[in-house]
Amino acid sequence: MSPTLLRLMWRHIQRRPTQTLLFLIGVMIGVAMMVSIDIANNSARTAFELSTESIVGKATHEISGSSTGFDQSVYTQIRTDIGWRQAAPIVTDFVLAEELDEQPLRLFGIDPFAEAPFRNYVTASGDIDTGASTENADLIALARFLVEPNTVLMGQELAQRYDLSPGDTLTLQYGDERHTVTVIGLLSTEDELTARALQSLLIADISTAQELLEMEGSLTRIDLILDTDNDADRSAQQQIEAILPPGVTLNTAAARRNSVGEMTEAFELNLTALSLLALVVGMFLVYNTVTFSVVQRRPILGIMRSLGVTRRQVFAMIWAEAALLSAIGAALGLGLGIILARFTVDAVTQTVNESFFTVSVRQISVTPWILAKGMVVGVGSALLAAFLPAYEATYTPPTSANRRSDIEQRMLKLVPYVTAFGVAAALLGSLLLTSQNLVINLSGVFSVVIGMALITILATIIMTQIIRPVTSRVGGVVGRMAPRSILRNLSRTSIAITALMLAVSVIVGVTAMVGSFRITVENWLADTLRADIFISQPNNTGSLVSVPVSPDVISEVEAVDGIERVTYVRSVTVQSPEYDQPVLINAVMSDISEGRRTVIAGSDDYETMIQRVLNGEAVLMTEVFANNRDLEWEDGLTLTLLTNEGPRDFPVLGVYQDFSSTQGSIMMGLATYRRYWDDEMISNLAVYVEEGADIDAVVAGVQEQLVGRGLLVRSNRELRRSALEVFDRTFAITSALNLLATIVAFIGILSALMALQIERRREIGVMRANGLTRRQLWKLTLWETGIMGTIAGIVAMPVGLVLSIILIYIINLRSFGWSLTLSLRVEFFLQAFAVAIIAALLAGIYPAWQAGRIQPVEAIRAE
Amino acid sequence: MPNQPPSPPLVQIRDITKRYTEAGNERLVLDHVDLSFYAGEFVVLLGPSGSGKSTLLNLISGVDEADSGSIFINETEVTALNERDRTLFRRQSIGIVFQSFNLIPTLTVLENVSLPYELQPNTNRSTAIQEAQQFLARVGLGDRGGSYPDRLSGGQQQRVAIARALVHQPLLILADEPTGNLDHNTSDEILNLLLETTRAAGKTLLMATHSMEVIPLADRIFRIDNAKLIEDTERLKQGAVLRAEIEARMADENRKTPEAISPLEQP
Repeated sequence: MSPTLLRLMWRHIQRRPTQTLLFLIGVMIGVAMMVSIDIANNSARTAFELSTESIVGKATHEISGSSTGFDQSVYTQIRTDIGWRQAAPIVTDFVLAEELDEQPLRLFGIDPFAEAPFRNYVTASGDIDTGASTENADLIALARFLVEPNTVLMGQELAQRYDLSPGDTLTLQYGDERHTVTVIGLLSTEDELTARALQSLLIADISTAQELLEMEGSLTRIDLILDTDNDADRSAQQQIEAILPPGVTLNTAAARRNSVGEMTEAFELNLTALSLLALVVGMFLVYNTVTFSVVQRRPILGIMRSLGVTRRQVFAMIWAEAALLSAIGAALGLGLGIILARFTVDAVTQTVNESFFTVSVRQISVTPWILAKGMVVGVGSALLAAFLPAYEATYTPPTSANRRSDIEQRMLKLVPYVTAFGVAAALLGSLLLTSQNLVINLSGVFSVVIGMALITILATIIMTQIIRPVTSRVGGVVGRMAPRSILRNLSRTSIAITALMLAVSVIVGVTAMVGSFRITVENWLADTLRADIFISQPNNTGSLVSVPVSPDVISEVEAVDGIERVTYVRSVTVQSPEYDQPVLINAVMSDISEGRRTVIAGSDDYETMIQRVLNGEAVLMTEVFANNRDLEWEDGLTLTLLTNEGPRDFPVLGVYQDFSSTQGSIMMGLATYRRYWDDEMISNLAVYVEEGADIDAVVAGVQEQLVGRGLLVRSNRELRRSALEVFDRTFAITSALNLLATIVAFIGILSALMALQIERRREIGVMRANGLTRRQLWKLTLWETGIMGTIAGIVAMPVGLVLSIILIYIINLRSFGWSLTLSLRVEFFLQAFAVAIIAALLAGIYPAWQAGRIQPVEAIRAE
Repeated sequence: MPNQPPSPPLVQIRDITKRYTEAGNERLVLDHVDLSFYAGEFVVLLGPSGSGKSTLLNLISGVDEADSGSIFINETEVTALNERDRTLFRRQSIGIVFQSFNLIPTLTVLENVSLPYELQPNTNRSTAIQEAQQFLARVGLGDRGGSYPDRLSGGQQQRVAIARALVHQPLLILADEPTGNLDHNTSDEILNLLLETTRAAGKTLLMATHSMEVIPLADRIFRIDNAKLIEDTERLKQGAVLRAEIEARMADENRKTPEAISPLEQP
């Protein structure tokens, strides 16, 4: 490109700071949203990997059983009978440390003598700071660690943050028990990954961990190093497998990592789709600003064309400008994304913790890949968005004449093709929605939405014709002019209407989806939670589900005045040879829903099935469990679980609706569970109050009775409220999305009107010269935007409805396995319609004011 | 004025027809038009507004496309070129002066003038600036190179446009109502300047105008009437007489005063 063209480009950027800013904001928002969500996902994943993978260390395989662990004699057999030395026993779970803001920390019980081949926290390369200045302080600390019960080692950084030093004590809470442990040394390491892993870790000797986690005589897992390419190792593997008791399996370390990845896959994918939506929003802003700047520059472009500047050069100039600005915008977006990530990480971590597994994100994890992706996608999408306006610019006729009618003629000719393309895209999208693959489904949603957006242009033409008689009657001359002007300037107005329509339909779709979801969950909570009081561990969600409650609590609660009866549940994860992911069992003493659960499929009615479950050895599975594992219920379906007596098939009687777990669960009779797993602990209690008793008083009585146990006692109402709070928190991001959509719609209309105004400067001047008053001009602009808002609002209703149906029946079902009931409320639609009209009218104010300032004299002189 | 036109003609227009469709109605603007003129000639195209003068100019510059017929400029068939080649041809061989000046407001006067030169392949910027500066000086604005166009009067802006049309040494200058936006005195000044500079550079000038003041200076005059192009020899003769008269009077005036007076400044 010639230096003069570059200069011309630069001068334009300099002279239009607001436009430049709008462009930068567009790219910045898109990139920032994408980068922050990427970082949040990545941070949660990295934190999880750090807490497992770096703990897995160099292990290639692991032996594990149910969440209650397995007998430690397995380890002795492996070391002594088989003689395999590359094995390390582990006892681990999450505990809450009072002194560390009650955050979940992984208590990691190890045998220091077996650790060397696996991890280096407590071995040569890790330094231990004991606070003493003795030369052999490290060795002394190690010796105390082995000999003294209730001692732990922790990372130096973590200790510093909470101002802890060797010799200080920590109060650890596990279940309803509290234990005091002494920090005898701080670990520091040069290795950054290890250092980060140490930020959410307490290391204890295995016997200390067994005591604290109430696992005397049991292990959580045994880490192994086995080279499966080596014959000796393979034979050792076979020998080890042969001695494993029932319910205990040998798996590769990678298998577990994968199963964890699968759990959050859909969740992350949905977030990514959301970030892509932000990017589309950014693209729309870029499209608008570039169009606007092309419109503004059309006279100059015309002159340049007449001087012999080729179409390609015009295109290159506009595109180079977009490239330059998008690079700056994307760079700013990366910065903003990193800042935003600090907030999104919290939101994502919370959801992950509430729904999937426990992670404690100490640090956001920004990789060069995320930044590079943000940059490339940001610049790439801005260039894509700038393509159409840049192309339009090349069609600027090489004279000064601003042949607006040419563009409109071309636009009108395009309408049938655009509409046909839109119908095709919508049909293709519908086809993609029938796939079982979530990525393809999400592409399908985009395709359907784009298709409907393209059809909007034809809808605009038709609806303007319909509206015209009405506005003429109501608005007089101005009411007659407004619809005509929308049609005459279809190339600009239809895009603004489409943008507004999309934004409003997203609002309708998302509001209807979240609303339906909430109503479904509310009904489900009302049906399922029939007891009056619920008692559980405070953090009994996600991976902390296994933290048990002592059965002693039952009799203590029963002793409280006003209590009719107490029922309880044991929730625990066990292994199934059929699936990588562990299976969550809810072993129930009685049916807490009192026969009200919704059955999706089954051999009988719920009453009959639940009786068979409670009395016999059959199970029920939740809908999510079935959907996540692609199970179609049929008579004779069985589920194999690894019990303490070995693999056992349980007949599945049916599938019921449940929203308590994102992974799904199995309902089993408590007696059956205890028979096969030999576990007397319980997880949750449901308490029924005597008729006429004051529930709040009974809650207070139970709280008093259980004081010091650290259990959470909640009334039915409180539990429902807190469940809905979790729900609302999970969907908080959707309100942000609605706001974003509204802003975009507003900017879309505003910039379209501003572009139009530049093009209609003369027209407006001439109208003013011919006697159109300022007031009429105001009215005209507001009539125009009002009609545009109305059309967008009307078209958005069916589109939003389709979107909500897709979100509810396809995306949600495929992502999380929940089938929801579509519950539409008039207010969802009215609210969105109001947004359309108000956004459009507000967007009209500034252009109307600007139009009023056009001096007829100037406009006519230009003529 | 050349007595013997060189051959072959610089511009040959053969059987050109152009229609416009407006609101479903067809309007014939140029109906089987033929026209040839030679290098160095000053050709005037007369006709009222809307008669098709600008259309013909647009077809010659390749900005617009004819429905049928062909146009040759210096033996290049412009009508056979694609859009890109027409643009490149225009860039190299044609300079245009518009009624509304059409200077680029975001470039300085000097940058506006140097632009067509810089757009030529393999030119370096300093030469372009030098050339532009020379042409600016020739149109009397050597000291205004750093100003932006909106700081200049209408007449001054048109001088810049003339410098811009000539800077890259095109074969043909097309002027579309170059004085249409100027007052009487400035119009005379600009016409003189345009003629002097094009003549001095030995260039061919095709001017569309409805101003009769250029008639005495034209080498050939054409008129568009009902979409047909007619050579107006009558008016040319009248112009020649008028010119002879003016020249005689000028010679007479010159004997009295040493300063040169523009022929157009005469009554």
